[in-house]
Amino acid sequence: MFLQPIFDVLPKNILEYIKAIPSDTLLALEEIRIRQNRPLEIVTSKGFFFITKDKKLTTNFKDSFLPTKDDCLCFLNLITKHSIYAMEEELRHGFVTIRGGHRIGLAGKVLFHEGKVSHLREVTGFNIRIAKQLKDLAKPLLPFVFKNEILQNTLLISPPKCGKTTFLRDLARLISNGTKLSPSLKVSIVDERSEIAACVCGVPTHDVGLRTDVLDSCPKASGMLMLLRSMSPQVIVVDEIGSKEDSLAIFEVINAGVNVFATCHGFSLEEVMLRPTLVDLLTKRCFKRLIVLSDREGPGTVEAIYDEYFKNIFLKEVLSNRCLK
Amino acid sequence: MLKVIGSLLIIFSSVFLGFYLAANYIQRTKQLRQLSFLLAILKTEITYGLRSLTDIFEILAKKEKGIIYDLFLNCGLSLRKNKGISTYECLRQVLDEIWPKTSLKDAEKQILQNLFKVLGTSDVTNQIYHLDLAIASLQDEFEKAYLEQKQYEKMYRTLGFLGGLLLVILIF
Repeated sequence: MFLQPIFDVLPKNILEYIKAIPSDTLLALEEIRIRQNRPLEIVTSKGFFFITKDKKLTTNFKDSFLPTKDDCLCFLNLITKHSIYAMEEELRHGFVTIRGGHRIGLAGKVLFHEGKVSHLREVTGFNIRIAKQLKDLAKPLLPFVFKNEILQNTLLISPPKCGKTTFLRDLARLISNGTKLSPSLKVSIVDERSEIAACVCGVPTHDVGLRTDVLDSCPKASGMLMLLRSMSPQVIVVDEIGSKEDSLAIFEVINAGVNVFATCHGFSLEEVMLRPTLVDLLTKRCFKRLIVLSDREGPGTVEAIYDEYFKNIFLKEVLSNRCLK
Repeated sequence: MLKVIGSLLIIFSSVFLGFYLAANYIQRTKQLRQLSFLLAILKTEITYGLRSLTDIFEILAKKEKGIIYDLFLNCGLSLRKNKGISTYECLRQVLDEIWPKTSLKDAEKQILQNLFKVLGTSDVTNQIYHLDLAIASLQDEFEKAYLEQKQYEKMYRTLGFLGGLLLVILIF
């Protein structure tokens, strides 16, 4: 089961409560949130619930099970494989990726040193984000990212939790493996936050395609240039671009004859146009396809697909509107 | 004739007893040395290797044979196999299980227990600090144990023989 890697790292106390959740709710699970001395919370597609002491789901926080300090300590031990010292980098970034691509966000006391986060101590808040790889989800998008059999640079735009990364991962996989519509291409992924490929010890735990190379937890800008020089990719895939360095690197890559697939946060194209770091990329027509996603009809609803002149080319009849559901 | 065999038997067994008691002292210093040595490598691995604690324990355990190496091996196994319990709980279980089989004393157990409480649960600087502390305390214990060994090792051996002899003389 896809939740097994999470069960493996949960403290015994908490695991009992999670395992008692009815299986249909477990399947719809999106997040598990553990906070010290506050109710154990789960978030599903239907909303959030607390778990009572007699292991029932409730929206009322009274009588709910409260994880203790020891539970939190134990959980931190388990997700860091009993070796926090080896995970200082992850703690600085505030999250740990475990097998199966599940990401655990951390909150606690931050130690600052010379203007930078040096360490996270007394971790008391955890957010387990459950990763689900949905294969062939991006297949209906393939006709749009090719024009006359030539791959187009594509930017996926969506607010958080609308399936951006899931789409990106599947596009990478489809293009790397090749489909009837597209030849197989060499794909390289810069996975700064270990979200796309969810590497554990450098090996991707999500299927990102047979001809895909992954540069795990590498800063995007320098990663893109490294890959360009070393791996001779045909497509470079990056998640959540946003800084000035990222756009500069994308200019480099695109003009070096390599395609780019990227994502960024935003509700609409207009909003992204207002971001000073990204507007240059758009007005200079770097991206030939801009796909806007939302969760209007469930995560992964395709709202619009624009070409480089910001003309909507999205044909509803070609694409079943609800992709993720 | 029977008397000679009997008295020889008494002397042999008391000599054996003396050697056995002396061996305890030798074992203790040997094990203390091994323990300090392993902790020193553990420190290097944590500082430079950044391997997970489980891996380090298992690598160290393969270096030689002996009860201290078994302790490390079991610590590694316990961390790998026990699901849902904290680092300290995993290590404490092993320590309690293996300790009676070693020649080490309570003072050393206390040192290890204190170390296990923090092992793997803080950043590198903090880990080094605690490992150094443990190694230094073990060194103290080692020096004490070494003095004791020098004092008592020979004494027990001689005492074993002489004690046997005395017994034989007293009987006859």
